[in-house]
Amino acid sequence: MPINTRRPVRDAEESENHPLALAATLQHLRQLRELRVERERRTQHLSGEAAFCQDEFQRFEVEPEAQDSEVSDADGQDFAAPLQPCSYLSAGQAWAGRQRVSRSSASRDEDWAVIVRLQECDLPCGYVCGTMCAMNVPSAKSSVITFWEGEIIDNVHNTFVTSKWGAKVETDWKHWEQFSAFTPLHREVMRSGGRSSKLRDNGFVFMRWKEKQFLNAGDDCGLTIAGFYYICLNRQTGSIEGLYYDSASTPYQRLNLKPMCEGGQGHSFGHFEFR
Amino acid sequence: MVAKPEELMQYLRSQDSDTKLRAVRDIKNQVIGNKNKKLSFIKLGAVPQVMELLASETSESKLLVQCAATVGSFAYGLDDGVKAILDSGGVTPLLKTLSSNDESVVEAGVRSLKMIYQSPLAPKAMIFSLDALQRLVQLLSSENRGVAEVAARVLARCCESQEQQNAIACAGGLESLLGLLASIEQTRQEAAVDALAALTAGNRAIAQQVLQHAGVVDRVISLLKQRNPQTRFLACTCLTTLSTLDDMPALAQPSTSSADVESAGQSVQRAVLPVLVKLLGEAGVKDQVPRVLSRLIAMPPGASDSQKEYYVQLHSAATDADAIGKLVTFLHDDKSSPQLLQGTLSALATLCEQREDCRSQLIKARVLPRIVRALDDADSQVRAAACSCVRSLSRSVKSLRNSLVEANVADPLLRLLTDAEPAVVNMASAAICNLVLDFSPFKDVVLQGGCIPKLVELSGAMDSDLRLNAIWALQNLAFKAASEVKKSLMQAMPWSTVAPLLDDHQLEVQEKTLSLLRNMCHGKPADTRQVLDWSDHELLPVLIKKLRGPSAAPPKIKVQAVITVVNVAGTGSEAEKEAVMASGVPRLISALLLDPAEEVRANAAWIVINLCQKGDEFPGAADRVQSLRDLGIEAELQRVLHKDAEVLNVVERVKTAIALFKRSS
Repeated sequence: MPINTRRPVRDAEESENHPLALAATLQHLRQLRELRVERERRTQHLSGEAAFCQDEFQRFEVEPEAQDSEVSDADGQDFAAPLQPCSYLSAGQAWAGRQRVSRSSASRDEDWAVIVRLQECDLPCGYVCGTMCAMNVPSAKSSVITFWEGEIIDNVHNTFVTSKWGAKVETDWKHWEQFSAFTPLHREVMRSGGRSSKLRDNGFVFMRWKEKQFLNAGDDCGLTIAGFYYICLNRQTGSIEGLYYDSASTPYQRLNLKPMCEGGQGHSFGHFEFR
Repeated sequence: MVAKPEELMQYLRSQDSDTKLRAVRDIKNQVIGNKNKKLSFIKLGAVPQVMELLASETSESKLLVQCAATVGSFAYGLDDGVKAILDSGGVTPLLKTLSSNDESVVEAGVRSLKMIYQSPLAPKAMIFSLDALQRLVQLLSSENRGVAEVAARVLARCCESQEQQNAIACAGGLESLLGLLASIEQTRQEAAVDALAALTAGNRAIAQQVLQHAGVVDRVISLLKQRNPQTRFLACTCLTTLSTLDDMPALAQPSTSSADVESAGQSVQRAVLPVLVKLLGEAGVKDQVPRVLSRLIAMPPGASDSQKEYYVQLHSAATDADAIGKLVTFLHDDKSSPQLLQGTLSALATLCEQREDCRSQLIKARVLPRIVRALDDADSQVRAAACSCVRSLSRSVKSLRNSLVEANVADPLLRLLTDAEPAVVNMASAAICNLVLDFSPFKDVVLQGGCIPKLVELSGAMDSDLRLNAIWALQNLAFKAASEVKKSLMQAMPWSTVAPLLDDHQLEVQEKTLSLLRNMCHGKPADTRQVLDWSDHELLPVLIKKLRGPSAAPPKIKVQAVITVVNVAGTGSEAEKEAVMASGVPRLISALLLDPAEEVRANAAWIVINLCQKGDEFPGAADRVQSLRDLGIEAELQRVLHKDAEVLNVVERVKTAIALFKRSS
């Protein structure tokens, strides 16, 4: 589905029933004004890149085979090689950390503890899902838990190009390039319709997590799940970096998570299987 | 002017043969197509009278023909008629007519049998007595086209068991039916495919014999285009049976779509699918269609990855043709027969097993309350099919969390764990496996409903499927379970019942039992301590035994065993880590690091990581590092690092482990 880069992003999001990510809907006028200013600032900032991104976008449009091809592109690059298993990507794995705004001017209202639990990971299908629990959110009375579903960037089921949730191609680049682990892949991904032949042997797994619903709170809990997270998992350490994107929320909200040893003092792995 | 029934009854008793003949003929003419007349003649005792004439040695051919036709009319579409025939001597006199020298008597007899055998009350076993079967088979090759066709229809109704099917085939019925199928006449082909569908249903041996005859499949496929829905349905039924055999021969005209990679059976299935889905809308046959559809699309157990992919495509084709939408209408219809319900629920269960979009389509159709009601259906096959539907609908975190919440599936399923019908218990226990998961909204209800003791009891069942389901459910139940839940599980399941499951002849049962232990040791240090006590400290020796198994042993068993060790070392406090050190585990680590299974190698490194982790709470870490170094494990890790350079999950874990040795030196 091609993205209309001229259309206000907000429209696209409203058409979604449950857009994503846990971010503060800033309730005070002061914050709302700040938000609008921020959006304008970003729009101006992006306009310089607009022509370039438009070009990129058209490349995707005229090369549908490149997007769909399961085996390789013209250079013989292997995009279809499946990702390798990772101990941390298993159901039951939990991470703990914080979500905060990375700007220096950030208020403490936008900084809280987060626990993420992975509940299902289907690597061959590029699918993950789980819950996210935000604790001590200043605007919420109690912890807020959401259910999210995720896409693993594997070239086959999902590419670096989001093409939904209100994310434009330039939105994707702007966020992915914040991860230093993305830098070595950047050029090829831009050339190859959002895919990379280096994913199989990469020390990082890239994902998108999209919150789908509140599990213990209503939509009036002061948080929004309108956006989504760009995610980068360090396979060696299990730590996760995330960047939240929602055009209506404070930009550059970062997620930093470390794998938890729940209950125990070392690593342990539970297991279930659907029958 | 028409004679009164009472008069006709008197004429039947006349000594004059012409009077009798006229009376029988008049009765026949009056009852044909008239249910009330049939009933009133039955009341007057006409059936035993006519049956007597039919059985009489002295009756002439003309009279026999009329008697046979009259008996058939009484039976047609009226169970009371069939009962009256059975009460007055049964079908024996009719079967005798088949041996008559007069062809018209034979024809009348076999036609009459066809009408009687349409009723489920008909005595199917009778045709296997006397030489009736031999005669019926001979008639399949009769010059008289009507007779051959009718004989095929009679045989088609007498294939209710494998014995009956085999008897017909052994009597030469199969060859003759294939001959009939090769006829150029449509009605004969239709009758032949009716009998072939019945003869091959659930009978692998006969189906294989059919396939040895060239051209049969092509001929049946050509019937898929017939206008008559019944014929199309029977052709679908027959092809469904044949296509699920492994040795399906290539077709004369292979389908053009990727025929080179697709097996012949798969091409046939692709041809049958759209016809069957269309037949779901045909009033005359729809009752039987879903059951055949569910057989066609069912993935065989132990399907390979490429087979799975094929079935997912087949299911997509079915859903693209709106199979779910059509099937759902049968659930909304309160008049659906048990057969239709069972077939519908089975087909929906298969379609929703793998695909989330199918699950959400079914949920959106608002049939969940109907499915839940079907869990309590009087028909056990319906109950079993409803269980498998619930199982399919609960096969993802998303649907389990969202879709099923509103329906009370837990209570009826728990009740079904004690159902009198083993097949229902089997399906119910399979569905329970998903409902006891950590994120299931039903977990608490199921636990409070006393499922743990019941599942423990089932884990000792003779039936291996039931054992597997029960231990599977316990494995899932223990996943991230609270300490109290684990405690009640250990209370309900003494170690003496766990030990035999670890040596079960079914490897899957062993695997799930190990996975249960793995989950029991995934939690708080106190949990792990209690598990070791529960096993009377047998746990580590048992795991070591599994890990010492030959390298050819199934990797799945070793994987579960090695991760259980990881968990004991990871969640346990110093005492448990020391217990692992004191066991045979450290001496096994080097071998595990070289195991052919990548997952075993990676988890061998996790054991090292958990044992060597430093910190104030682990005063023994330095000693453990030294002991492992003395066993040469640090050096082994270094070797693995180079050997396994390509395998990320191993290299990453090994690097972490090596770092722990370095920090200690």
